[in-house]
Amino acid sequence: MRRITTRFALLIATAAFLPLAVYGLVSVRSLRAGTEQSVVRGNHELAQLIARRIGLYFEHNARVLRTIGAELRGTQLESWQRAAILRNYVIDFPEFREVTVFDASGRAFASSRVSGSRLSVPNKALQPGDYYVAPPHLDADLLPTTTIALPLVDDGADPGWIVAEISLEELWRTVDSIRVGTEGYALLIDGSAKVIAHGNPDDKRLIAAAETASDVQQALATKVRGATIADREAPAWDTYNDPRGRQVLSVAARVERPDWTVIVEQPTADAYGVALGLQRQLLVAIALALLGTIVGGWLWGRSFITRIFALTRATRALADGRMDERVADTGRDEIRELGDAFNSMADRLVELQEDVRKQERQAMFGRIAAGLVHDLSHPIQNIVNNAKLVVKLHDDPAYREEFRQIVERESTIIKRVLDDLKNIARPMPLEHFPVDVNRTIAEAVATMERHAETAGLTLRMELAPEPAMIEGDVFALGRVYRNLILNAIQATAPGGLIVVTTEIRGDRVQIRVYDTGCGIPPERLPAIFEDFVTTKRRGLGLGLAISRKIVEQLGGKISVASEVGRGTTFVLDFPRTSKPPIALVG
Amino acid sequence: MAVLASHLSSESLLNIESTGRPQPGLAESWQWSDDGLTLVIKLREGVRFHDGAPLTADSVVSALERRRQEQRPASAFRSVTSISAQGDSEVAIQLARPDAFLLNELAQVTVSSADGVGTGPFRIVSEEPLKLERFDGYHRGQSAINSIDIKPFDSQRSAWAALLRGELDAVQEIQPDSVEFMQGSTQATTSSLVRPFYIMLGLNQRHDVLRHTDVRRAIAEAVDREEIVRDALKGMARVADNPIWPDHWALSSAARRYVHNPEAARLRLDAAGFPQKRTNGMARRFTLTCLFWDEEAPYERIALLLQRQLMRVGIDVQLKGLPLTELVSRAGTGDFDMFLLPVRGGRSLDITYEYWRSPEDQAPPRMNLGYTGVDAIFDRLRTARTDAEIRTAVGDLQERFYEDAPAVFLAWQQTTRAVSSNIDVSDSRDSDIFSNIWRWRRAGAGQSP
Repeated sequence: MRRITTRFALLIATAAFLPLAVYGLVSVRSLRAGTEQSVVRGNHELAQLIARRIGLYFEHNARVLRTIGAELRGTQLESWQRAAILRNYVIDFPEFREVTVFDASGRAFASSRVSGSRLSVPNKALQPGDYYVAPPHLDADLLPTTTIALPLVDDGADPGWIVAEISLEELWRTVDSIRVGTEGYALLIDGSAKVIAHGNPDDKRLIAAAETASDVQQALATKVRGATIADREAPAWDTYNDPRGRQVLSVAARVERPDWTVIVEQPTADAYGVALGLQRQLLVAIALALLGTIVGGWLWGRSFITRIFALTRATRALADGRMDERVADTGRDEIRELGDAFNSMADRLVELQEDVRKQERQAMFGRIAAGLVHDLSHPIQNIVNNAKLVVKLHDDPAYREEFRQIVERESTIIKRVLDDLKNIARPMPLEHFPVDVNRTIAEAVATMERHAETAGLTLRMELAPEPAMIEGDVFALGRVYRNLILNAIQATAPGGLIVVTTEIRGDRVQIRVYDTGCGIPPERLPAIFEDFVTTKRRGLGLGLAISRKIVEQLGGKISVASEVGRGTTFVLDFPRTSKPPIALVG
Repeated sequence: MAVLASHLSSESLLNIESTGRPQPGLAESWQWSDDGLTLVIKLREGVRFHDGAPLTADSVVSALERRRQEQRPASAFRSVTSISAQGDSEVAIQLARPDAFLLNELAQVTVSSADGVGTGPFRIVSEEPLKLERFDGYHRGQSAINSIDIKPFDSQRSAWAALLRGELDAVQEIQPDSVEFMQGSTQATTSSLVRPFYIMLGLNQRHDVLRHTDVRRAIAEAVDREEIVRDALKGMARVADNPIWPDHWALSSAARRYVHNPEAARLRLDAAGFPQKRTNGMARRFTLTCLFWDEEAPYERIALLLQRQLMRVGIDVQLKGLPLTELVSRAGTGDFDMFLLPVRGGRSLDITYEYWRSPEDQAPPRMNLGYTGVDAIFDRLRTARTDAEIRTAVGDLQERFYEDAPAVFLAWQQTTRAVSSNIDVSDSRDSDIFSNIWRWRRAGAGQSP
C-alpha cells in the first residue's frame, strides 16, 4: 500500500519535472547563447575602442609633428632656435624621445637630440598628409618604441621629412590598464604579429622575448585585417586553450593605422561567470522546486492515503471481529463519504450479528429442548408405564425387581443426559494415571456387546499384543469408548460389523472404532465434534463434543474418516507412556 | 659584477646601516681610548676563511696593513700609526690624531686571508665566467643556495628577457624607465631602494660668472628639481638638498633648502650685475656649457629640462654629451662650466668628505670645482668625538652647502632589483634585498637556484 504513496509522489513529481526540465533546458540554452553573444559584442566594442584610441594617438602625434614641421620650415630661424623648439616639444611631449627634421636629401637640419640624430628618413613613398609608423621595438630600457615619419608639404620650400622616435609607454599603459571582468586583458600585436603590449602579467615575457602572437591570435588578426568595410562591425572571435590550459575567448579589432591589431581576451570561466552563476542558480531553483513538489506531493498524498489506511485498518478490525471499530470523520471529500458508508455498514453488521445470535440462541434452545425431550421422554415414559404396572403387579417380587432395574436403568440414562449437559457447561476435572488401553477397551466392548447383539451387529475387537499404556482417566476413557461404540451401533444397519482396535505406533497409541454403517456426509464431517451437533434425527448431539473435550484434555487427538454408505472410522491418538500401571490395592 | 662577487664572498669588520651608523660585522665590538688615539676591536668568534683557516687578529692586521699601504689621499688610514694584534681576538689601531672616519673606513675594508679568500657566505670558484659556490662553514649559517653564476648582459632587455625565460634568478639593477614594465609581470618581483648616489649639476667656481655666489644660488633657485624627478626620472628618485645621505642620523631637518623660485633667481641675477640682454634674437644674461653623460637615457632629458629651466631666468645653456670616462676626466681637471653627473654619496660622512673636502697633499681631485668653503667644517667633523659634535658639524655643512651652492644637488637615485618569483626573499631584513642573498631560497623548496 505504501507504494501507492510513492507512486503518487512520483506522479506529481513527473508532472512537475517535465515542464520544469524543459523550461530549465530552454532557459539555460537561451542564457548561454545570449551571454556568449553579449560578451563577444561587449569585448569587441572594447577592442574597437582601444583600437580607435591607438589610431587617435598616432593621428594626434602626426598632427603635432606637422605643426612642428610648419613651425620650422619657411621661417628664418637660427639653428639653435630650431633645436630649442624641437627640444621644447620633446620635453613637453614625453612620448617624443627625439624629433628630427630632414631636408629633401635626407640630411638632418634640426634635431632635438644634443649629440646628433639617431633617426633616418624611411624608404617609403608617402603622399603629403600621410604618415608612416615603423614596426615597434623595445629599446635598451625595455621601453616600447617606434618611429613615425611624415613627408613635409612641398610649399615651395625644400620638401623633406619630419621623423620622431616615440615611446609607446602611454599605449602600453593603456593596454595594461584594460581589465575585462576579473581576469580579462587586452594585447596589441603589430603587422608582423609581434606582441608589443600585453595586459596579462603572466605573458609580459612575450614582449621582452620579442615573441609572436599565438596561431589563433594571428588568425584573428589576419581575419580582421582582411575584412571588408561592411564586415568590420561583425566581431572576429574564437575560443582556444591557452598554455595554462584555460579556455579563452579571444576577440579582435583592427587599428586602422598603423596595421596593428587589438585583441581582448578573457577566460571563458570569467566571461561567462555571471551566466554560469545564473545557470547554477536556475538549476538549483528547479531542483528545489522539484524537491518541494515531491515533498509536498508526498505529504499531501500521505494525508490522503492515511485516511485510506484508516479505512483499511477498520475493515481488518471488523474482519477480526472487533465490531466496535469505526473510522474518524475527517475531511469533506469522497473519502469522508466512504468512511461514513463504512461506519454505517459496521453499525448494520453489528445489528445483523445480534439478530443472527438471537436466532442461533433460539435454534439452540429449540434443539436442546427437542434433544432433552427425545432423550428424556423415553426413559420417563418407560418409568411411568412400569409405574402403572407396578400398581397391579406390586405383589410380584419378580416384577418388582424388574421394575427396580427399569427405574435404575432409565434413571441412569436420565442422569447421563443431565451429566452431559453439565459437562458441556463445566467440564469435569480428569485424573492422569497410567492406563492400559487394551484393558479399558476390553471392558467397554464387554459392556456394549449386548447392545450390539440386540441391534443384530457383530462387535469385535483387535487389541495390540502388548499393553498399550497411556496417561488417562479410566472412567472418562470408558465413556469415550462407549460413545463411539454406541454411535457405531446406532449408525449401522443390522448385520453390520463394528471393530474396535488398538495399535502401538512408536511413541503413540491409536484406538480405532470402525463400522460398516451409513457413513457421514462430507459436508457434515467438520462439525460433528461441535456441541449439539448430531447426525441422528434426535438427541442433544453432545456425545462426540464431550468425547473430543475428554481426548484433548488427556493430550490426545480425535479424528474421523467416513464414506457415505460404506462406514465410518474414528481414530483416537494418545501419547504413549512408559510408566507402569498403578496397582490397585483393596 | 666584481663588486657583487666581493660582497658575496667577503666581509668587513663593520657594516654601515641605513642611518649611516657603523654596525658589527666581523668585529663583535670596538672601544675607543679616552684620548681617541687608540681603537681596540674585538673579533667575532667562530669565523673561518674559505680555506678553513680561522679568523684571527693576525689575519685582520694583515688585511688592514694591505689597505693602509694603498695610501689613498683622504683615507682615514693616513692617521694610523700602527696596527697590532692583542692576543687572537683583538686588534689595536693607534692613530696620530683622532679620526672619526676610521670606523667608516674599516667598513670599506674587506678582510681576506693572505691567499685572498674571504669569510663570506659564498666562495669564488671561477673568475671567467664568474661563479661562486656556497661556503658551508659560513659563520652566520649555511645558505640554501648552492651556487651563484654572475653574468653580464649587453642590455636591460636581454637580462630581463632571460629572467622571464627562467634563465636568470635575479637582475641587480633596473633603470627607472623599465621598472613599470617589470612591476606588471608575475614572473618577477621588484624591490626599489634609494642608492647612495646623487645626481648633481656641478658648477665651476673658477668660471668668471659661476664664481659669483649669487649666480650659483640663482641657478639653484631656478632649477625645478621636482620636475626633473617627475619627468626625467619617472619619479624613481628622491629630491636632493645637499650631498649628505638623506637618511643619515646626524642630518638636521631644520636646515634651509632651495625651492623652485625662478622670480627670485631673476632678481638675484639682476642684483648680481647680470641683466638680461637680447643677442641673436635670444634674451640672455650669459651662456654656460653643460657637459652631461650621454650614454644613459635620463641624463639628456635632465639636461634638456635644466636647459629650459635656466633659460627661463635668462641663462643660456649649451649642452654637450660625453661618455662617462671623458666626463669624469674633465670634471677632475676642471675643464668645464657645468657638468651633470651621478656622484657617489655613500651612507657615511667619510664619502662626502672624500668628494667635497678640497684635495690634501696634492692629491688629484675627484671633482675640481675649486670649492673650499666646507674644508674647515669637514676637518672639525673628522675629529669630532661625540654625537653632539657630529650633529653640529653636519648642521654647519648643510648650512654651508646652502649658502655657497657649490653645485645644484638634484636627486638621489633610486634603483630597482628584480628577482624571479621562484625565489623567496621574504626573510630579508634589509631594504636592499641583494644584501642578504645568502638568505634567499627557492619558493616552496630548499633547493639552490
